[in-house]
Amino acid sequence: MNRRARALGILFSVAFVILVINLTYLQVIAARKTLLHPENKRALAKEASIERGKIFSADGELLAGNIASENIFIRTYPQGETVSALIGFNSLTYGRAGIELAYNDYLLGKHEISSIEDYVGEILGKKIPGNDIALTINFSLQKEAFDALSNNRGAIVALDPKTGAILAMATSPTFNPNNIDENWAFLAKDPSACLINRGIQGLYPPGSSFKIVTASAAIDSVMTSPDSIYKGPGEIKIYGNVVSNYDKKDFDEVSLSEAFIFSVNTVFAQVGLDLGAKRLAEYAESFGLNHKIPFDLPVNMSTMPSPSEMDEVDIAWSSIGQANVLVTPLQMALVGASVANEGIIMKPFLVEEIRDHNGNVIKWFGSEKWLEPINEVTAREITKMMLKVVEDGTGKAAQISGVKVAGKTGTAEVANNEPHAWFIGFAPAEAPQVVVVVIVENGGQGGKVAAPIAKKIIQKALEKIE
Amino acid sequence: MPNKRNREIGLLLLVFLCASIGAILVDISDVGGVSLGAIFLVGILFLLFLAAHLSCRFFLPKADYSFLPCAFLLVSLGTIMIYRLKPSLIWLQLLWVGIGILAITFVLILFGGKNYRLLENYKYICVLTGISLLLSPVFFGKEIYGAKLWLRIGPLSFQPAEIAKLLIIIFLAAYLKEKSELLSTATRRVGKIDVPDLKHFGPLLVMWVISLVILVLEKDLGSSLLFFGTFLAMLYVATGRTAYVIAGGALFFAGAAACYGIFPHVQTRIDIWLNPWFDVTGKGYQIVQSLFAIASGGISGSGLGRGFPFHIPAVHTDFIFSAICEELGLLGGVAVASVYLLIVYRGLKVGLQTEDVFGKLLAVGLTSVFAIQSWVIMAGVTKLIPLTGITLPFMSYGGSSILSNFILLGLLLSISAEAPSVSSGSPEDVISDE
Repeated sequence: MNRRARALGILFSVAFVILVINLTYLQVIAARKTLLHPENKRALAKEASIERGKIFSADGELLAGNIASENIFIRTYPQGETVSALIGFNSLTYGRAGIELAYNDYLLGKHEISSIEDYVGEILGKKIPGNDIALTINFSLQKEAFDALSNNRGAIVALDPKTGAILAMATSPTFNPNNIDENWAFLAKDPSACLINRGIQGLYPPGSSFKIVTASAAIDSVMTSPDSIYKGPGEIKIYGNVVSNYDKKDFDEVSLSEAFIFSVNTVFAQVGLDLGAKRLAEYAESFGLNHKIPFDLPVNMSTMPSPSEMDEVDIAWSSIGQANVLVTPLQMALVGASVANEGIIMKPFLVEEIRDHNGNVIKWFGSEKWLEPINEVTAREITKMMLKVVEDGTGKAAQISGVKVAGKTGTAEVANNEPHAWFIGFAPAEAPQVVVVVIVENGGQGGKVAAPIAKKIIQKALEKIE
Repeated sequence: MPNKRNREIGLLLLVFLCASIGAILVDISDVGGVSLGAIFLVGILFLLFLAAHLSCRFFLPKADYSFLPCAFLLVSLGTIMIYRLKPSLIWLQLLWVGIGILAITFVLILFGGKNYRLLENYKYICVLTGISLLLSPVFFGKEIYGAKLWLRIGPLSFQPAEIAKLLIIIFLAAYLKEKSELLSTATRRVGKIDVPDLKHFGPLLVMWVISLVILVLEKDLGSSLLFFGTFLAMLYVATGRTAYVIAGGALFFAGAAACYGIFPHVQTRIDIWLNPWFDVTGKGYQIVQSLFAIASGGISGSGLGRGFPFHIPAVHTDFIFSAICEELGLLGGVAVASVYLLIVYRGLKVGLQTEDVFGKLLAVGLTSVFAIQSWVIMAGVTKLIPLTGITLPFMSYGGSSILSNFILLGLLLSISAEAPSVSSGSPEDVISDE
């Protein structure tokens, strides 16, 4: 009987060993895969129990904070729609977007444990708040930009050309991040795409604002000069395809500079053809098209067709920013920045610094050079032409008394609708402090619709900086 | 032997120390500042077990020293988890542990030494009461979590199967003692194998029918498996006939398979087991949440009080092992399983050392039911076998479960005190004597 009782003991032992083997499989070998299952809400629940870091603007405005509710924290966005496209949202159900997504680990405090006290607290189970983030955004400028768009669809980007810091980025329409869960069904299907940050994700034909690129290419490659004279007929035919000026106005003989100031399409089509597809595309790429712009948030790539795909007609249309050229407002801001910053494009950035919950800076983002599409001399020549655009060309509506504003308008044709209104400008021209890009979708003429908005933003920006 | 009792109190103090550290961790990790709840509970539990220890010292000094510390470890860990997961139930849980300790004391006084043998004389009363209790929920029961196992008396739910299992084991031990010789010798040869006479399969068939009744009418695979498994283990130890075990196993599987074909609720259980990921938010929810909890524990766990086991329905009863695995990790899970195995080992040892056949069979039966019950639920929540609704002894919340397991422990203690080893020095010597 004892022998059999021992046999039973062995049987039980084997059964428990199998249990332990299975447990090892579940907890060690298969654990990672199991936890990735979308129904596992553990990670989110755990994260909701951590006091997420706050997000501030450069001028100290609270953009994202928390309200404690029992064991969890509820994210709040005191500035609502004004900055929602940048901050994004933090939803237990729908995940995250914007800075909330891109800097999630920092906001949860996953990166650094900065002090011994925190480390001991962590062991004792004390919940340590996440790290705060300070953006480069100037909130009053951001608000000005957001209000300026009002009911229009479009975007405004303002940046510091010397550093690449984004000072404001407004997009419209947008969403209210405070009730994303309630409104999700609507937001996700909204035909006006309000979850899209048009400043970095909207792709538009640049229209005449692209002439900055074409002119830069022509002057930088010493193919021509601002004073070179071109014929500017009301329209030209290229293989039967008509490229015409606004209102088919005939300019007879004009300098390149004048053609730029009055936005003469027929001249720029010729300049483009003289440059050739290869050189035009090379310069466009040197400004950042066909490149991923390094940024804190995902930017859609601005595109220039490859030279082999372009025939003469395409080249002509591309040099005036139509046809297959598509750009984001941020890309055009960088084009403006290169002119404003002696030919150098600084890497654009949105996050200035990250601070732990005690206020110690744990990470600081400085400015960094990204591209150098044109030389200093070219930049100065283009600046002169852009100044004249605002002085007595298509961009008069952007004039500010006592400030030299440089700019270029764009009126990008779109099929079956009003054209998109563009304005790219910077000021003060002698020592640029801010580059502003305005696009109003289907807004009409750039000089009439976008330039006055840009003026307001530049004014506000200079007033803030002083 | 004071030596044994000194060891017991030493081990109890050691467990008290460990449990206190755990309780402190839970107390300070509680969001909203420090509370003194869990450490206070562990203190009360220690006093209760101290009382049990003293009654052992007083009434049965020769009893085995390992059962109480093992039970204390499991009970305190379980109580800490319940405190955390279902604080509203904590006083009731504590009350039941108190009743359990009282029950142990009574068992020690009544059945200590050779007195447990008196039970042999009441075997028919035991079996009749046992079977009536077992089947009572079929007529008066209340369905909870899809199984009909509970009797409701006023505000209290009571699971009669927990007490019934002890009574039936007492009966089986007495019955098998009487019949073991007959069952193991009366054979005829079929080919080259000795096969017992068909008429001796009678008891086997009776138990089989009872198990199936539980399965079908009370919708409870766990208890069914528990009863039948325990019966087979005792039958095997008593007779040494593997033929019974094989026939019994085959019968059980045949019965279970038939039930799978006939009853949709059995079918659902099996289907969930085979693929819980098919209906993650519906039928598979509980087991899938358990698997998430276990997986998130990893090797060392989230730490006591720092996990998220709340997602699992019934986590404070059947699924408490998943919560342990989440918060204490693989290490904690294996440690807990080891404590169960340790109790099983000591229980079988009690059976080995006892010279009385009834005592042997009773110890083997009690140990088997304890082993099978803890294994079946741990294996169930880890999806090793289909999930069944039975409690994890000493850890799960549940009055009847706590009470019956304390009585079980009391009986093992009582039998252990009779073992001859006490006169021949330390128990380690006895192991080598066997």
